[in-house]
Amino acid sequence: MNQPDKSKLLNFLRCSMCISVIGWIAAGWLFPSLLTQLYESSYGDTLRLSRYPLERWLKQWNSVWARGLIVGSIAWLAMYAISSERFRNWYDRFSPLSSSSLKPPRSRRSRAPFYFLGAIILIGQSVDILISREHWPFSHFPMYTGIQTTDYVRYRVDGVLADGTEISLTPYFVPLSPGKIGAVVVNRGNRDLEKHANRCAAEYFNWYSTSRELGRHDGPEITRLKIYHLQWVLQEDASNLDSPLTTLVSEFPLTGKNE
Amino acid sequence: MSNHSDAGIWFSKRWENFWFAPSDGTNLAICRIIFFLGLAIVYPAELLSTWDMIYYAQWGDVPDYFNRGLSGPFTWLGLEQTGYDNLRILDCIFFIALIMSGIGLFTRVSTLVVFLLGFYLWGLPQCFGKIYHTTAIPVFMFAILAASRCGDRISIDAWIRRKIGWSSPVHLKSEGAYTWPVRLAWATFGLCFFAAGVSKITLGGWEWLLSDQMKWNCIAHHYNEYRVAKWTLPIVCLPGFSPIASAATIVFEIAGILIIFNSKLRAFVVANLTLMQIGIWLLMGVPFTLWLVSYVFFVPWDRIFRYRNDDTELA
Repeated sequence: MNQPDKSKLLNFLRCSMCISVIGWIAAGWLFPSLLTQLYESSYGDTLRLSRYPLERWLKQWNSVWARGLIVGSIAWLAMYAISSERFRNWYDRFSPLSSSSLKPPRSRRSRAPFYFLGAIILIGQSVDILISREHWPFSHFPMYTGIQTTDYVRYRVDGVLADGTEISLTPYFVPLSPGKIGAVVVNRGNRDLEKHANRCAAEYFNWYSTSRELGRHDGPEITRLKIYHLQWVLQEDASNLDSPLTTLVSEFPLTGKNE
Repeated sequence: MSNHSDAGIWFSKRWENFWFAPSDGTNLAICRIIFFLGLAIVYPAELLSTWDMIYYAQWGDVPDYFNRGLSGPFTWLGLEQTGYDNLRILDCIFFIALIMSGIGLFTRVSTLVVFLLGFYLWGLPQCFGKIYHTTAIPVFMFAILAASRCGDRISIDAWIRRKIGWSSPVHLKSEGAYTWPVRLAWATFGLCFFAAGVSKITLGGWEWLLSDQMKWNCIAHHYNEYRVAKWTLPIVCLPGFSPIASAATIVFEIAGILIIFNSKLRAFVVANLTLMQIGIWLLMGVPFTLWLVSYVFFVPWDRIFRYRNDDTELA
């Protein structure tokens, strides 16, 4: 073993790691002010930054920066560890090789499916982890990352029968789960909320009626459809489950006061 | 010899040993059988519930106005919602392909059909409302198995090949052709859990870890469509439950990246991840049935069934 080479490599890795970590931390400190200046300048329009509020861009950058720091630190530590003979010896004892000698493949092409698929999965997942985006099935899996407080809301779609009775139509909108029924109403994008909610009510009404005519379900005929916003203050024993604060969001057909 | 070439040789040996260790394909074959047949059981069983994983044909009836699109390959490939009748046919073909893949009949074709149709049929529901992440892992598994030679052993294809005097090339066993699919499944699992852990740290922060959000999250599931038993309420209200459960979740999800490093570590991490998902099912009513079926790849089936030689077949 060549000792000068060994220490040269380790020193090089140590320096590179320190420089890149310091550089990334500095970027995390400097980039937000640069982004703010860009946003407020004429370049902001050129780069289409103004389509979202500045806070949203800063939040996105903070997320990318934190993820980059985590992933980059792990990658650097892994490279540093592999370059250390001590670590390699320890790892060989911790996880011995199952086969001491392996035959090289007859053809490199036989491994092409592995490298192709592996690259797609690794790159796709890594990109989504770093930029915290979803490109299904690649995802950064942000399930339950929100801070749940004692305030809880959901939506319910009710139908009004001819005699005025209201029934829940949730079972008839299969395959939409109750969560998706509400998410559809919430996801308005840049659309006007009231107009969007009224359109949702109309679409749900038409869907219910058409499905009923086609025999997809055996629900009763309805004269009106209502979308309600339900709100609770969560209780530890869920004792108020049946008494939410209920607000009518939209209905179809529209009454005079809703038009 | 310098240290960097030592490190390079060491890494290369480790890489080859992990991904391409010799294997006779028994483990991969049993994974194939249990995975596809397990999904074929779970998939129609969910027809009894009201989740959006079911009644695929009815996705053709959902109003186009509710379709917000799906970022990623689904949109890049120009895939769109099709009608009820078409989805019914595709759904039937998908179910038949699952069975055929499980029993190993025309395996290369059937696994490819499962992947292509699974990608479309399980991606379509994600265009509406919000994305449910329970389908991501199985779709990756479909892709891995479609690209592999999982039908070479313990399959009707293998039986037919023996009858007509064909056999799979022997060199495949020594070149790791039956090893890398299982290992790639491990790595994919680990990467997905790692992504979830990183998201919780970066999006949730200290407040996610230290507040009572986990407790209120569990309680909130009693207020929605999930079927959660009432007896779980006192458990989630125990002092310290929320920060401990949050910390454990982050630790084991981040530890998912360690799945590929050592068998004992893998067993420990995977066991805890399984318990975590079972815990989520009990406390929140969210069934990760499709992910739980995918855990079949972590079981060393060949050691359990103890094959002696290449010609021995499972009765």
